[in-house]
Amino acid sequence: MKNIFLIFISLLIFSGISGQQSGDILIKNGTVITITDGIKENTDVLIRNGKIDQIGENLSAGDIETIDAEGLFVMPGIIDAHSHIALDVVNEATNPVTAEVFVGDGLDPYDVGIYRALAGGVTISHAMHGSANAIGGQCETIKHRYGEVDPEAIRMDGAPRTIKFALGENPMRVHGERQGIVPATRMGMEQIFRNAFEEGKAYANAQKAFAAGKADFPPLYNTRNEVMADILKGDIIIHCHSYRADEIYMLLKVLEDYGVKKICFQHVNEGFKVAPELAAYGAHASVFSDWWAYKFEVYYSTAYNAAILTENGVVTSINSDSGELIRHLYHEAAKTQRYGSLTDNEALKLITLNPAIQLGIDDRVGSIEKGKEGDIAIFKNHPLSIYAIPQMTIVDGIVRFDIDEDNNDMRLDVDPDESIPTFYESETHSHHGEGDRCMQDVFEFLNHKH
Amino acid sequence: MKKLSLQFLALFLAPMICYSQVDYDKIKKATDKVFIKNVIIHDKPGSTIEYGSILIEGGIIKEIGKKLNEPNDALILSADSLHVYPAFIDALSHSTIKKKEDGDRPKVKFPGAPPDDVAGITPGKSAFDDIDAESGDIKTMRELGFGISHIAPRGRMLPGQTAIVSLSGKTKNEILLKENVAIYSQLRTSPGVFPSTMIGVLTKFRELYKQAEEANNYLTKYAASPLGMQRPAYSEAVTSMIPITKKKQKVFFKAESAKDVHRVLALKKELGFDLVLTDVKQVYPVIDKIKSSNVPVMVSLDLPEKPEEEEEEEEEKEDDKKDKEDEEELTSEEMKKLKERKAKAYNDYVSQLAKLDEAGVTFGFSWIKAKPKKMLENMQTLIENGLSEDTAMKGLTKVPAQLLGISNIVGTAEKGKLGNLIISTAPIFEEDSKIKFMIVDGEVFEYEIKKKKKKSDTGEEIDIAGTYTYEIDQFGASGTFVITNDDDDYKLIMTSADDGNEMNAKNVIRDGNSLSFDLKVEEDGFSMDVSVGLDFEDEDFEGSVSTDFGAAPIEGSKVDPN
Repeated sequence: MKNIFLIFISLLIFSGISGQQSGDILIKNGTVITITDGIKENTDVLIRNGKIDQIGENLSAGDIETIDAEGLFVMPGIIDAHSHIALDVVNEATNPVTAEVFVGDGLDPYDVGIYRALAGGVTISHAMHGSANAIGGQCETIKHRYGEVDPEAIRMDGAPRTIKFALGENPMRVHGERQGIVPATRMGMEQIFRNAFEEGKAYANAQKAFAAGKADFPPLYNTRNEVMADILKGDIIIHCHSYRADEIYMLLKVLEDYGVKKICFQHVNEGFKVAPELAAYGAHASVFSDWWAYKFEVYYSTAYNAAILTENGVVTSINSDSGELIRHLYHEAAKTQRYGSLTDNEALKLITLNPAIQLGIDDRVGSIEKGKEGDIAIFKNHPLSIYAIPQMTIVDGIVRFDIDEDNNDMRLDVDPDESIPTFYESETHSHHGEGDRCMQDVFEFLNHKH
Repeated sequence: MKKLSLQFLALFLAPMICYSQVDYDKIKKATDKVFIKNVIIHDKPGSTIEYGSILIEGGIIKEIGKKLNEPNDALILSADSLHVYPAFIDALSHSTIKKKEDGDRPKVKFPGAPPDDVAGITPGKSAFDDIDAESGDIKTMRELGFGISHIAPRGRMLPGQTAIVSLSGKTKNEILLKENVAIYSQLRTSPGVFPSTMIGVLTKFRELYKQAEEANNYLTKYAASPLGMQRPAYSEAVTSMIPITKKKQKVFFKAESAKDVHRVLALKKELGFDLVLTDVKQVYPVIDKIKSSNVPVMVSLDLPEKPEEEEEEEEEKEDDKKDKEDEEELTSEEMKKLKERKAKAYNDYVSQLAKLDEAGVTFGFSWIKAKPKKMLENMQTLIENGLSEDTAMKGLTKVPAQLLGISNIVGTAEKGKLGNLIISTAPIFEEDSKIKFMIVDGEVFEYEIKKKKKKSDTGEEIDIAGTYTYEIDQFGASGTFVITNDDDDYKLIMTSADDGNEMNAKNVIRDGNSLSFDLKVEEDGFSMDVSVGLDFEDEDFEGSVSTDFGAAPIEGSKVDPN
């Protein structure tokens, strides 16, 4: 009896603190693209308490918010497996391994980038640590509940833990070139991963020895090794920034040696060269549709990458890694039809169900199915059409973007001391149109920091 | 050069009221009794004793009430119909502690594993080591009504241990009331080394905390019987954190923005230490969260500048432009809306403490960021926006006294407590109220009440030539102006306090007691016009620095030529 009471209390506390809001909504007469169960014309979707309750014709639900979607396309909310919006901090670039840091500690619910993503139909994004380090920080899967100002309110509670790894030029430049420490080469990269896993393993073994009564004390608490040990246990999905096939294959071998299964390669521009190997390992791939040549290791690329990976049976998604691309991931997905002739459903999977699988949340989101969360994007024209325009974006049954309510200033936080650096003002009233840069110099001058 | 600028800063902070020539110190040596008679005693928030008297002996309130017998061996303060309050308590500041130079950070071989002190992790360091009893801050704080300061060391994520000092004129050892009171922490990063980001700071805090829990366990066992145990090898940083893991010390954690409040509360929830939210500036979005957390909160009085009101002129201009292109009209409409949002945001800030009070949260005031000099002005703004005077008073006296565990000796004017008192010419938060006497730790300080000359009163032109210090708070800039007057031909040379760069002003024009001039700033191939307008009053000026991108307030005061 006492136990039941305690459970009840803890449930109350949990629900009170998480404060993740959900709503009821009925979307009428849309063309519903379910992803997992075909396309349903003139169909209603009923969301209750934030969950999809019914999909069918002529649904009624009493006095709840109803949206007329006649002539519109209703699809699952778009999911971006790689972004950096809603973060106050992206890189703790002081060490080649910073598994211990967690971008979820630096969420910024005020970021207007969340709203911009919603305006592109995106309801969930994977807020990632940057790629300065071989093992960067842990990432956070967020729901775009724009309007909420508590960082806790934008976390996707219960989403699996993820961590950022990075291969190649970025960590080599930041640490090897600038600090003169390992890794300066791709050989050094491999050694960084192996060392980190070895340390994590030794730490976990020392903990086990203590738990089994074979040691008097546990090892000195170490946040980094705690995380490395959790990766080894399979509790954390690795998302690895990568370009070159040789390095991708290298990491697969390292992970194989340590028995780590959960890996999604990010960018993975040369993924098409190792697609069968990725598929055989069960590794996932999250790519750009057609973005490359921005540094040396990113030249050997093709817009057919997503299609080749998909055809080889690799779970593939298309991501943004950008506050701009995130606004039109549906266009990015459509490019795989021009380059690779993917079907509508295959192309849409790249931005819905597949990224959900990569984030370990496909049992909750990524398709329109009864029991899944009420994350919906409503489009005028087919989402893969060049004429597609997002009309409304719903997260957990709550409308978070509505094109009819889209005002110019959608910021949540206004600093009363801010100067108003509008583009208009800087262009028309400045002597040389340098805008922010110029203001920066003013600050520098007044601070005399030279 | 840095020292010089600090001196200028101190001068700049010197208030308009000055020491009188009355030397009460001498009298005090003959007697340690002070009798204040016929005053209105605001002994605690919401309570008043009309025309009462107070006898202080040895720094302690011996008697307080009506109809006390006037002793014949006491210093009598003729304070007829003045107002007496318990002296304010500064809940946390860096008073008297010098700012550290950022320039000379040591080079470390592995930025990911720097020595603790380079990383800003010195939780064992005592503020008392850095406290300077000779600092002008003590005098300044006292002149503003403070009797006690709770002082944190300066630093980064874990600067160290706080100390409580009495703001009397005594020596360093005499002013110390309590050392190692609490640990001060902030989300401040360490440039170039770990933790170089706020998420690194939070991670490092967690690690140190958990290591401290383990260290406590180990050290306890080791102390009981070291036989067969390795010699403990915990860092000083780790062992210094042990008292907070056992809730023997509180953590005063600076959290200026609403986001930081969320972050620090999440950390507290996870680890379970006794938290005092400190120097919170953006309160309004987190009132409910603070309330439900039951965590004590020390707010900052660092208020935003009031946005300028929409000028009517501009509206007229808008009418003129009516037949111009639609786009321009839209843009000015957009600008109008932006200004409305700014004005609303300002109102959110100035009304937030009234709302916090309404929500039933008790709060005090800390002075990490806010300037004590602006206290009365800002408090008046808050009171105009709904804050009750009693709540303001509580936040300056009772709340910090209780929080710091010193409410049995200060915080109210009661028999047996320290006679730390403010004696003012009017109710303390009234605009014209001036402090006439401060009594701290048995010492009496008297201030000469100078009437502020209003320009409109005299219309007289003052001599503005001379050397002035200036501060542009918004840019963190300071330095000096030298103004010369050669037969009404004014010249101005501006010198930066930091690097000593000099710049000659152009178009220096005097109009009444105002002075305007222009500066051309050239830096890295960019040039930019800055215009400055100053209004002089007595030996101070206020004004604004305008650039193409907005204006910032500037203020300063004359440097004594002697």
